[in-house]
Amino acid sequence: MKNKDILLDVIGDTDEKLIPELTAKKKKAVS
Amino acid sequence: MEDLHIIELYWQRNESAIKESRTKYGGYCSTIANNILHSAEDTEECVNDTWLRAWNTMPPEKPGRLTVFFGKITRNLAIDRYRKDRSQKYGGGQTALCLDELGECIGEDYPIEDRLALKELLNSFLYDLPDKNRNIFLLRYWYMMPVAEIAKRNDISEGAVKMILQRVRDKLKNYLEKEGVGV
Repeated sequence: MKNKDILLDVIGDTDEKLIPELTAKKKKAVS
Repeated sequence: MEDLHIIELYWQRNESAIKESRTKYGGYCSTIANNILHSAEDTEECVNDTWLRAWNTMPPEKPGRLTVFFGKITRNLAIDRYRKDRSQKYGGGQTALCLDELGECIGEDYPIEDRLALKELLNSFLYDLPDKNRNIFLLRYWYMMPVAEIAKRNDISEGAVKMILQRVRDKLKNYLEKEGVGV
């Protein structure tokens, strides 16, 4: 396995507190 | 349903845990799997496997953030699937692009043996980044989200996202080199 594959795996183990929420995109109000 | 209640259902070995997980987090996990695989059929299989993996993990696991717990399982399952059949099948997904981009950050002269040390270095690096840059980096390389989608979510241009990603990758490269990882 290449180092870049390992880096991709290790990013998956990032401290869960740092993972951003994947909230729905804001919709602009229609006037 | 509250996350704590869903976790409780897993611990009670109550099969409605899977139904509730699918209802609340099916879309979230599908987004992650589809970013990686770009295939509706394989995305569905990965997401279904996510609930089974969760069923086999809880107990003893008690996740702190159920979102990230499920997302991480899906991400790992999708990357495993991608690796089994990478080029011919999943060319439209983001994984190959993300891997190329991450290749800029890390040397290949010496294979990494200590993943735990790399994990600690990476967490320390990410904690020190400004929130906006860290979130964009993780949307790209944790969620494997397309650049255009990251731009929309942050109300900035694709060029700005690419610039931020480039700067963070350069910074990570310097940091890892300084720590002697892969070089």
